[in-house]
Amino acid sequence: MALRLEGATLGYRGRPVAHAVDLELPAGGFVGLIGPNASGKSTLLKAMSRVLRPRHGRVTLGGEDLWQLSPMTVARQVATVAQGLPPAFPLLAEELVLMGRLPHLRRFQGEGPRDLAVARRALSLTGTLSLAERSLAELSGGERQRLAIARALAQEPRYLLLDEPTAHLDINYKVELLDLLRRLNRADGVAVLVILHDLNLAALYCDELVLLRAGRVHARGTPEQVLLSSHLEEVYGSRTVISRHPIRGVPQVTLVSGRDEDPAPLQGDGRRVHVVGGGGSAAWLLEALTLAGFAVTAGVLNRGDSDWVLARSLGLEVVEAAPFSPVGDGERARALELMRAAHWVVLADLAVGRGNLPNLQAVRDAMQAGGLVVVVEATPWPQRDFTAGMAAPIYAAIREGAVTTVTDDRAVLRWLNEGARETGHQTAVQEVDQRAERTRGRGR
Amino acid sequence: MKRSRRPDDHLGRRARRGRLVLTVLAVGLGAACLLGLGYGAVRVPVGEVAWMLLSRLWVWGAPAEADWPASREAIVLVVRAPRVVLAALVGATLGMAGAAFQGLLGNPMADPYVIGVSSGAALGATLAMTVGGALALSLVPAAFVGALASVTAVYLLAREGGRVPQLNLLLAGIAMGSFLAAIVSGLILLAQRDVRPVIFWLMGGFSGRGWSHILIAAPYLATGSLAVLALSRELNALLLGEESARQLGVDTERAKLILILGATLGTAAAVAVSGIIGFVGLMVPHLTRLGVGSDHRILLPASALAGGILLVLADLVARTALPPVELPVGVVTSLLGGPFFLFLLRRARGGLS
Repeated sequence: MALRLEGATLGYRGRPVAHAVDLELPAGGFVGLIGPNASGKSTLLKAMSRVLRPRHGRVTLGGEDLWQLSPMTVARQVATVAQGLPPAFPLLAEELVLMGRLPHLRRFQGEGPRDLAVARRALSLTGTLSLAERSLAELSGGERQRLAIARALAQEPRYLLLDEPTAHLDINYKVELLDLLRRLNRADGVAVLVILHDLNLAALYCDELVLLRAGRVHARGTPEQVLLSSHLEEVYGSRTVISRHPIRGVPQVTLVSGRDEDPAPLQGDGRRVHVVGGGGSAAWLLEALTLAGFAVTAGVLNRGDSDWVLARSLGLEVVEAAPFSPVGDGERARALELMRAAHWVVLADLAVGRGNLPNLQAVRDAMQAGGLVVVVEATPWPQRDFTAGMAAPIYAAIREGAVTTVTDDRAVLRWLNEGARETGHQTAVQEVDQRAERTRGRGR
Repeated sequence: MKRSRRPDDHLGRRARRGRLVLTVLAVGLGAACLLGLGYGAVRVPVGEVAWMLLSRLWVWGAPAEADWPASREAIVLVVRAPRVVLAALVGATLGMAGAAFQGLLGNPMADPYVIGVSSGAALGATLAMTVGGALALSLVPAAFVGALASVTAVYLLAREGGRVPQLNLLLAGIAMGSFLAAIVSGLILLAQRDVRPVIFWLMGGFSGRGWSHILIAAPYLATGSLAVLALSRELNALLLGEESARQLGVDTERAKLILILGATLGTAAAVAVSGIIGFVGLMVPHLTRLGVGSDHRILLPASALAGGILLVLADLVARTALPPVELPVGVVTSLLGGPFFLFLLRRARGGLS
């Protein structure tokens, strides 16, 4: 049993909206429909609720063509909460909810005790029992939204379709509503198809996600399979970082903003930058440099370190060490390799102990081999030195030989930008390149 | 007053109250009819009227001796009874048609008179009466065709991107009404025969109507009203908008068609036999809704009963207010309805400026 779109092409008055879409809501399934505005989500829902007839393809309910069944037969199994709110009419809340019984009643048949019981359950499930005798005209948007859902529940559907049911709700009601939907799904076996704008809520609640783009299915599968940075960039055109929900472990999407505080952001053109950080000291730089178009590498970082997590979710090449373990010789050598392959090495404002001292040594070695090092010194060095002075001479040497030392992360980008503006962007980069070549040549 | 909050009896109370209101209105209509039969140039005590009716309607022999003059009985049963019954039928039909149009268009200003149905019916009926002999048009079908043409034109003129805004509907209806009224006037002026009956008819009223008029109109009135009544739950669903109604299993296109045809047919039949009686379809559903709410399963029959009461009483006023002159009923309802309409418009638009 399923409610299914089979190669459905949909549109309004010659304007095609969806093209040959296959979509299945299996009995007992919980499917989220996501995608940007105008990607055709609501249109698919209208086709599945027998409001919009497909131009090509079919809609089937339990294998039968939806348009061969009577509207009442469909409405006994499929209930829809459309986008928007019920009108602010002088209609009592209970009258609205009792309308959900319409497909179950014969013409001229009044509501019986069972109908009232079903309506009462729908009201109490949605927390609106106390509103039953209030007029819709005097209720808030959130209250009317919950009543629209109660009306759909009063239909006792096997398939429940919802078009952005959380749009008018505060976060507590959003979570409450989705919890309710999941409870109905798990306990009563109601299949749920829900359009959600909030990707994180979609990942938290849906078993399956269908990502739409311009009227076609762009990706489908579990939230893990669908919520990938690459998919979201292709569909929404936005840069995102995918992390894990701290409790549930499902993917969560964080939007990455553009860097509008930089009037002329430097285009990295894929030039390599190696960042040495740890403990969150490099978080901002890793993201900013990646966004500016540099090919960023990082390390050595301990697995589980917050900079490591970020670097991984940005998809960067990272030299990693075991958690809480000192950096070994092999890792130090790998890091040095990456530094020598990079145009610049950025030493973040990190704290140094015995464990990550080899990072500092690798930076020194890279510099002595001709590498261009930018040092960030936001915190005075002595406060970051946990090696009882062992690291101090190495750090001093790095500062001595660095191309510049700046006092905050933004200044790293600003420093690169200033150079770009003075001499013209391309020449600045070329100049640096040539310098890098020269010094490297000298080093060899 | 604070009611008990026992969850078990709390749902459906409004429906139960609706049935009580229906009973009260039915009794009220009966009382209004008795008043309508008893009062007039010759006053007959209401008790005597009741006995007359009982003795006539009682199939197992008269329950009481007739101790009233035959002339009084003739006045009540031959002169007044048809017009009271017709007033009740027409009022019921107009009240229900108004409620149906308001629900269908989601517009509290809709009413058969305002949206041009009545004017179209009047044009159709006038055509039938003035040049109809030649064309062999019968009265009610002619009125129906005119009404249908007019409401279609108004609807199309007022529609804007799939919706029918209140203001557009009013403007289109008023314009169409004036336009059709001008044509009706022209027709009357150009007619070759005596046009006074047509003019009296146009002003709206029940004077001189007999059982034959009821026989002409009743089948159409009944068909139209029953069609509307049968779709009361579809009307309820349509309150939520067409999309929601379809998702509740309503075949909205068919429902709208039947509702428009039914309400138009009833209105056309009413106009054909009693002329233009304005504002009944506007006032009655409004006042009724205040009492029973928006559930059309109650609202439609309640509007019918209230419409009957209103027109029976309006006819009584028309007959007795300024003796020996008899006012057209349409004048009485317009005297009541004009200010009411302005009040609604003012409330809806927050002032007339």
